[in-house]
Amino acid sequence: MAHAADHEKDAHGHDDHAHHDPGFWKKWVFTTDHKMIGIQYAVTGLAFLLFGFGLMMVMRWSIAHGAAPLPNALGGMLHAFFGDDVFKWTEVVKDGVVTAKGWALTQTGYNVFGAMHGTIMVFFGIVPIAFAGFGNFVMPLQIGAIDMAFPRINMASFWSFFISCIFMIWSFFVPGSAAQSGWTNYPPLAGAANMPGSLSASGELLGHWTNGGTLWLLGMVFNITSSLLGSVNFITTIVQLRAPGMTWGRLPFFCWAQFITAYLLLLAFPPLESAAVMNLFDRVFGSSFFMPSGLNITLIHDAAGNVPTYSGGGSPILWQHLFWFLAHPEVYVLILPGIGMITEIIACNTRKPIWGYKAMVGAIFVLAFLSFIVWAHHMYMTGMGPKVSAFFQTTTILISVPSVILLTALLLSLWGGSIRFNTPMLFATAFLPMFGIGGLTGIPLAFNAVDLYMHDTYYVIAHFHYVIAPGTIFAIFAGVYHWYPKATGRMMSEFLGKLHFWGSLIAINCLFAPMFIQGMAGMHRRWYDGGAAAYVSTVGQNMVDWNITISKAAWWLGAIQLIFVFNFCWSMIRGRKVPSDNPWHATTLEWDTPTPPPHGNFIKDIVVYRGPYEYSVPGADKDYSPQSEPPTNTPPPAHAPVAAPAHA
Amino acid sequence: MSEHTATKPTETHGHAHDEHSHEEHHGSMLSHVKPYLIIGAALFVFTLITVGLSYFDFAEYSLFRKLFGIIGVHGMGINITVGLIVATFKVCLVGAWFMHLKQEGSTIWKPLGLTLFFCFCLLMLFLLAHSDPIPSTSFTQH
Amino acid sequence: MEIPYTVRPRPDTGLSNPKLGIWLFLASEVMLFGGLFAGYIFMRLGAEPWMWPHGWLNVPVGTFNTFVLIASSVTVILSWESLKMRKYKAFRSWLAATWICGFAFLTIKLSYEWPAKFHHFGAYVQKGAAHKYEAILGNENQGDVKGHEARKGYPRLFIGGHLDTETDKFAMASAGVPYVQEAALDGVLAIGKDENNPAKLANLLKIKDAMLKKLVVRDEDIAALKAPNLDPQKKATILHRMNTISIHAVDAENAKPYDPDNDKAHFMPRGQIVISELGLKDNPNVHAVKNAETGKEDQHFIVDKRDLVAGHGPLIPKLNTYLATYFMITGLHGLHVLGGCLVFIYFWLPIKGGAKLFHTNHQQLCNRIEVSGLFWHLVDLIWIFVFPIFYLL
Repeated sequence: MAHAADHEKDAHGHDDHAHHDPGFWKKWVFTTDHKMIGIQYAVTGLAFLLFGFGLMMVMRWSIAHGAAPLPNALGGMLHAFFGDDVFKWTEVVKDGVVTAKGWALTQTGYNVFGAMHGTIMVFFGIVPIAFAGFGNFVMPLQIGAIDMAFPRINMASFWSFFISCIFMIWSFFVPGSAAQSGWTNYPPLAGAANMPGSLSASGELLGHWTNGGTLWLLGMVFNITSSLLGSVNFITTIVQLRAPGMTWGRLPFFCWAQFITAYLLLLAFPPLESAAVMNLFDRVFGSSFFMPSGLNITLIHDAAGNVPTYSGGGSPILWQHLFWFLAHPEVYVLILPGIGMITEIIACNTRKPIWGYKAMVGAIFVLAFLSFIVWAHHMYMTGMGPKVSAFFQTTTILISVPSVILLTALLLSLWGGSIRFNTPMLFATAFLPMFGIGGLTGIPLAFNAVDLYMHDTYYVIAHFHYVIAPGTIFAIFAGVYHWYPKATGRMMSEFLGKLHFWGSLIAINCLFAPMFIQGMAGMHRRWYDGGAAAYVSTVGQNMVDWNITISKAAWWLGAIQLIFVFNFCWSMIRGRKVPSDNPWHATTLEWDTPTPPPHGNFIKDIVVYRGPYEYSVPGADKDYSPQSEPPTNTPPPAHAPVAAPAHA
Repeated sequence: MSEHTATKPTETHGHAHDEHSHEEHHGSMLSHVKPYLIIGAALFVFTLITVGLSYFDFAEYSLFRKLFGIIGVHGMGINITVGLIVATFKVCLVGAWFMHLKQEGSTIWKPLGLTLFFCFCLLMLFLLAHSDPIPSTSFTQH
Repeated sequence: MEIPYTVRPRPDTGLSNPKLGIWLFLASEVMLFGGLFAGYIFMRLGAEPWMWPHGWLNVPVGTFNTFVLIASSVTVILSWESLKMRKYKAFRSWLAATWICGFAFLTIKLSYEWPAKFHHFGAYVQKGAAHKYEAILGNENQGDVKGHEARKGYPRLFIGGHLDTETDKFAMASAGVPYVQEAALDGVLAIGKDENNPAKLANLLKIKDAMLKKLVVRDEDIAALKAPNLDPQKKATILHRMNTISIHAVDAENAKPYDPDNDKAHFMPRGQIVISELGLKDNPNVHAVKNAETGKEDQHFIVDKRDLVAGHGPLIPKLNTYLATYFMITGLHGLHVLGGCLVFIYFWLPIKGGAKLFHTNHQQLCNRIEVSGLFWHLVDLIWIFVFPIFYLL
């Protein structure tokens, strides 16, 4: 049989292969090996995560100190890097005396950093790490495949992503700096910001193509193309390349999560691609897809003083619809791979099966379906009438049901387990309450009446950051600590890991919890000086004072991440070598490979005999039964798609 | 895949089998491609019909005005509706025969069905903006 | 090391990898064009009633192109069938027919249909100024066609026609520039006046030139404006020329504004008539213009840019949302056609991954043609919707 033959060939072909040195470029750069591509994605993503966080730390200075200049050395460095559009020499004069002087973030700069922080964190940080990085590295191993279904498309996906990264970074260095209209890029403001033909702060003309807004869109087009190629590959791999005996019911939950996530990306991203193309037409060819009639933006003008002219007839609401048609499923793209990783780690470290595996799989199916029909709850402010908003309020509340099923199943999985509190497990257990806080605080926002008040306040920021930062990013950390030994053959330092965990947990809560209070008081998310100058009377001085606490927590959080960076790099050279191929005593197939897995992954024929989480099976000689371990007294599974070579 | 290319799982590579199948099919080309030619011809005819219908002003005749009035379609809308119905029919022909959807199994149909549903949602976006606007905020205000 | 099921189908799913892959890709394509069509519907319903243009595209040419694309869909199937029956010559001939059809489609699109729009002038008159152009808009005596009563109360505002681009090659570019206030022009001319730093001055002069090129367009006008002693009279003449559009010939619907057929969208009369033949000599907007080359006197219809909605000029995406959606959707569709053609040429050429596979791995070549054929059918399928919604309805 074809499959059996292929596997046999692999088993022999593998050794031959190991002798061929593919060369530096083919091995490390232009590789088609899923593991290396996964690592490329993850490392690029981690770098962007750090960069995006850095942007935010600079913004927090401006917010905490009322747009005061940055400390001199830092400000000078940042100014040299980002230029006049973003930083301005400022002297603070009080009673005729200069109290402070230095480079301060400008209002434009705040907009640039805010927009790019969101874009980078979502599209260039978390999705590449959680979906593409971990998905590429772990998923084919977990289903017992030798590679992805289309290795060259996999490489194309990464390089398309890489091109989009170049566009995004490049956009910081063109006149007028990067995009300024938020990660949502709402027109008509987005159509007028970074306007071609206007002058930058240093007096340079903004290019027709090379301006922040246009480069942002070009970057997004490539980013979306990369996601599409990736998701086609992921789904095909999971459907077609499961090892013999790996039935759908035996698929590890992480693979289910990746499968559903890939579908979300496949079907939700194209509408944003079409919206991005329309927006490019608006910016480059002067069309009016998103520009309504009678628009007159007098504050924005080109070098000759002409305000932008549009024939009109378009609709800004169309952009919002197409954007959120993607961006709501995108929320689940961010969280589902995280939940998948957490599930693997919890099962492994509680030494007992996941409670409600089938219910969880069902829940993510429902979650994915519902996520496509809730998008307009981001748009209550657009003049939506009661009928339409009632529909979206209902579906939004409905979607909390599968989310709660997931959280409950994971919480109950802890019950009665003999828990090992190693670093990955600490992050995984912290994920549960943090994700819970994030999810529950979202429920009030589902209601139109509350959202009209809360919209664009720090409450919203706190809500989704609780889901994503101590949610998904903690899951990513857990995943890095968990799979690092498989990828490198060395363990990360437990001591540094625990230091990183406890520091991060405390700092991140000090950072986001006060934002709920600020938000309920009406603190707006786009005040570049934290509300100090113009709006202090509307929110109160005590609310403005919270900014300092929050900013200090943010900087502490940044400092603590350096421990992780150090641990990550240092362990690669000096870390303890793994005691065996399966250091955590886990059941899933990725631990059945040599460490690190060679090209072709498995050195034996993989047949799956059991479910993914058979920990502490009564009567077994050890407390875990790997999926590839044949049952002692039962015959091989009858419903395997292809008979195993041994029995053929 | 159509019945022609579906290979039995037990078959292995090799020219012996392919030669055999070659002889099996030899001379029956026309009978194989006949359905495709018929569908192609139908597509030509329906294209002409669409063009012809667009020059026929349905709204001028009271019969069509009444008929389409029932489903709330008026004036130009009648022509648009008829045109899109013909186009949808043509698309179904292409999908069912040229793309072999008639013979596909559930692995193709399930995701495709979902896709069509979500695509329909997208096409109905305008309803959200049109059906229930708060006065003076509607996007139709110019 | 080989990945399983790249050629043969997996028994339990009944699919090979590329077949599943292409269907997933097609699903995303459906969503992509779904988003574009959603945009079309939004734009069309968002346009004021009766303002959606009709009759701008050439229906016979469009119909012919539809036939070409349908024919290519049939030939790719024939190619695949011939391949399965191991008829090498027939397979290659039908495949060649397919990509030739594809290129024929693109050629017609890019050499005739699109350029025809770029050479055509169009503008929307603002509602308040419609009375000034009554002679070619014909709103007073709007036709009353049964079934289209809803049209009443929606004035015709579109002027279409040709500019005298033979003698004035900048006419079309200038028509696309918005109205320029004298103060704005002075502002541009003053750029760099008080700058002493030579480096900064050079940058400013560069900006000044770029701005002038955008606003004034005509080279001789730019030179005249930059001259040290600018005659105010001369400047006024240049400004007037910049801020008006001089139409040489109008579209038939503007030539016969009182024809009731104008109210019937599908019966738009086509063709153009030069202004001299309309008998509008006494109209205040009609001016005699001496043709510099022939020496004859032509009549031109002069339109003040202040009376127009922004975006006037050639029929490009800037003019209205109809053209924006038309160029975007046909453009993206054209890119898909181009991609499909290139893939077919690759499989047609007698190279390792192409037609040579016939002898080395016949089944794989069958799969390749089938998979690319599926993509080609989707391209055809999208055109089946694009054709009526832009050309006919």
